[in-house]
Amino acid sequence: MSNNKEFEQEIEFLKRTNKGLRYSLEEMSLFQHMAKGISAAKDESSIIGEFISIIKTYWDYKGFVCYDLDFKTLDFVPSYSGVIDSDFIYNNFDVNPSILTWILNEKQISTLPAKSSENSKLSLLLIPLATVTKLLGVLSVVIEADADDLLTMQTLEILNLAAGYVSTSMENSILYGDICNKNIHLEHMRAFTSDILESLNNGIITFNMEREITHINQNAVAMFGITEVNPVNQSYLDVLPPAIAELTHLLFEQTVKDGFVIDYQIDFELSGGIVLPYGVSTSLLRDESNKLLGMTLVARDMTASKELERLRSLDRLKDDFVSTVSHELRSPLATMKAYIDTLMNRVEADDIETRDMFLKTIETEANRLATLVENMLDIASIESGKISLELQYMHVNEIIESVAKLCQVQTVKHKIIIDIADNLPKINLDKDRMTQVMHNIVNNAIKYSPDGGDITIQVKEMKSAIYISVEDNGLGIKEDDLKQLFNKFFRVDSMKTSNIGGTGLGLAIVKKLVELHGGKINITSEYEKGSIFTVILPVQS
Amino acid sequence: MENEPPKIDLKRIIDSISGLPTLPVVITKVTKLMQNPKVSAAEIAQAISSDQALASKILKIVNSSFYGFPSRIKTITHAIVILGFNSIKATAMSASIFSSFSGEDKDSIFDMEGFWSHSIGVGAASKILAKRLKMKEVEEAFLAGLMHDLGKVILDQYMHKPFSRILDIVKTKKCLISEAEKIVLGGHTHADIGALLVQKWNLNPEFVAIIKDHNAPTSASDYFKITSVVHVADAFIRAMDIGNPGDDLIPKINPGAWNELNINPVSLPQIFKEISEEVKKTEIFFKMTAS
Repeated sequence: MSNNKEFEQEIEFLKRTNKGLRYSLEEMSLFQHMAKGISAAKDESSIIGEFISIIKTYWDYKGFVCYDLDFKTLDFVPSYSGVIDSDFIYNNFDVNPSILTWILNEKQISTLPAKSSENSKLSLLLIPLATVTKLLGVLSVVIEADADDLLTMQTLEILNLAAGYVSTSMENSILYGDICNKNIHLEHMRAFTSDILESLNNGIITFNMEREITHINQNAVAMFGITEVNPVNQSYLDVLPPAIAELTHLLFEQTVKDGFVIDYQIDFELSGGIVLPYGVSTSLLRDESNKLLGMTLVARDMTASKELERLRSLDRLKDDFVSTVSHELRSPLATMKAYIDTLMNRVEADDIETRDMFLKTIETEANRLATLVENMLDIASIESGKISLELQYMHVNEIIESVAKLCQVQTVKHKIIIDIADNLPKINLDKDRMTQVMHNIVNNAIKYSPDGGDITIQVKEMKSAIYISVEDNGLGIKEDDLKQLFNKFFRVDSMKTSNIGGTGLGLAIVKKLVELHGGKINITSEYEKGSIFTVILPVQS
Repeated sequence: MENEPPKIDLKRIIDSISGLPTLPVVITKVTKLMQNPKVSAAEIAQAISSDQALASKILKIVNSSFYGFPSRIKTITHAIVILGFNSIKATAMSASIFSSFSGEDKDSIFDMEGFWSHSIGVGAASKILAKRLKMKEVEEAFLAGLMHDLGKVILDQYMHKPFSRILDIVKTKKCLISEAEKIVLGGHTHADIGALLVQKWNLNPEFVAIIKDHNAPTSASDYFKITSVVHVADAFIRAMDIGNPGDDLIPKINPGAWNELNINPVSLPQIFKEISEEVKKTEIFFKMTAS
């Protein structure tokens, strides 16, 4: 009966479906195995090679041509091929670039039947090669099978999966290539930056936030006398010499707080005993998201710039000197010239009294000029650093006593009193220069006490220093003038002092000479009561 | 207070409708054949060719700009090997569904043209979303989108009285059509009717579930993802004002479904652009089927 026949047909159908499903399962597991080959392949040609070997297990493979998409011209250019060539494909199949474009755009696997009936046993599989982001080209594979029977749902499924694997592997291989290229580029950049860092005259060290050294150039190694062979990745404490490690700690704190430090000055003693002035600057290192990465430290040898600075200040000194000095020299000269003119033209040859008076004035002015020139030479040689002390280990008493004696001879109005403590230690002194200092101070005390009085020179030891104070009961100095007292050519300007001679250089010289001895000079003064000048000289242990 | 809505046995009502549209035998046959993974293109082509009208429609569609294949496809077999099994099956099914319902109905109280526009839109949008999500079931999403509101046509053509009440409620209450349906049909909606219909057609359980739950995708446990696709596509097409689903409202998108699709709001303009291009392509497809 027809019902019976239908039933048999249905059973037949189900049997076939069942068989199909079973085969399909086997093929899928076989495919899974082969797909691993595609995944493992690293470059385009081996990926395609693996894919072709899958094709070969399912069909009679004839050959393949891979068409790459040229991004500029949008043409398809044959690249890899196996057994056959592009001509073979174009001769046997109705394929054209627009079909390839369609395949690629739709990401659709397709099969084209042969053009003519004599080759009807040939079919062309077209597989799009595209990654998520890029269209690469089309792989065309010729197989010997009738297109109508060629593709079952199963094989299409497998081809689709395989093409998916190919795309993923292609993407991976492109990314892999990109990473390799980027690494090469990074390596170039690293070498380039490193060359720049090495070619700088400055010492450069970078630290991470754990205070480990992340980079250090050869200059830094030399400047800080670093002996560690591999300082990178080590803590700064283990690598840098103690003075610099201490400085680094300090700078780290300050840099994290302020963001930078500019030209922190430090004198660093290298192993040979050479001391070099360094200027150390730091700044913070951050990544693109502004996260703190560490600190960079740049050390500069300031020897050259210090020398330059010294020459510049000498230059300035010379300019000041010329302008001030020319004025100071001109006034005694003008006085002398006026007197000489008068003497020659106006004073009668027999007026001996007037002549003597004029000649005395000229002598005074000549003396003043001589002193001025001497003082100026003194201060010039001190300031330019040309003077060197001839130190001898001696008692200061000797100098004080001789100065007191010499000065007492010049005055009758004043009484010079000496009060020297017992058992004072010997110190290093340049005898002539210290005599000059004390003579100047005591002489000033006499000059600026026009009404006479006691001048007391007291010498004592306190806190590892010798204190020599010269006290007078003279005019005293106003507070405003005190500040300028040691400036060159400064003279207290008042009715009372206008008659007192001087070059304005004496105290400037005194101060420099005391400082050359490693000492200091202090003044306390009360206007119209008197002044105390105190020279403090260190006692060497 | 309104009266308790009458209990309605929807299945009994659908079963009792005589002359309910059927799918051509050939579709059932093709669906069955494709259960066998070893089926060849030639076998499917042979089955389709037994319905000459359908075969020629399919050839017209595969050569149209809908697929845009740059060379002429002469046979169904070639169409299958060039475009793939699923594409041809979906083409055959959608062409059949469309012709089953596109007959003139003088009694229709529904804007049928607007309805099909909406359905085509949701089909096209579902396809785009499924592609973006890299789902395997791109063609299934398209078909499900196309069929999701078939229940409304059954209401229009075979249940005139309740349907006109439903449309009245939509007009006066300004509510969603499914809310009006629940009032009139005792808690049932067009989704239930559509699901019963495709069940009768012996379509995959997948389609039954999607159509039944397209307004509440969280109920479609096994087919949650593809149901979410249709659900979101429905809202998108309503938002884009394509076609007429029977009301003017945009339903709230189910948060679970939205999360499932994981759409970045930044890419929405691009998605909408792709959808409207796909809708245009699909409309051509239906013009070809109708002619």
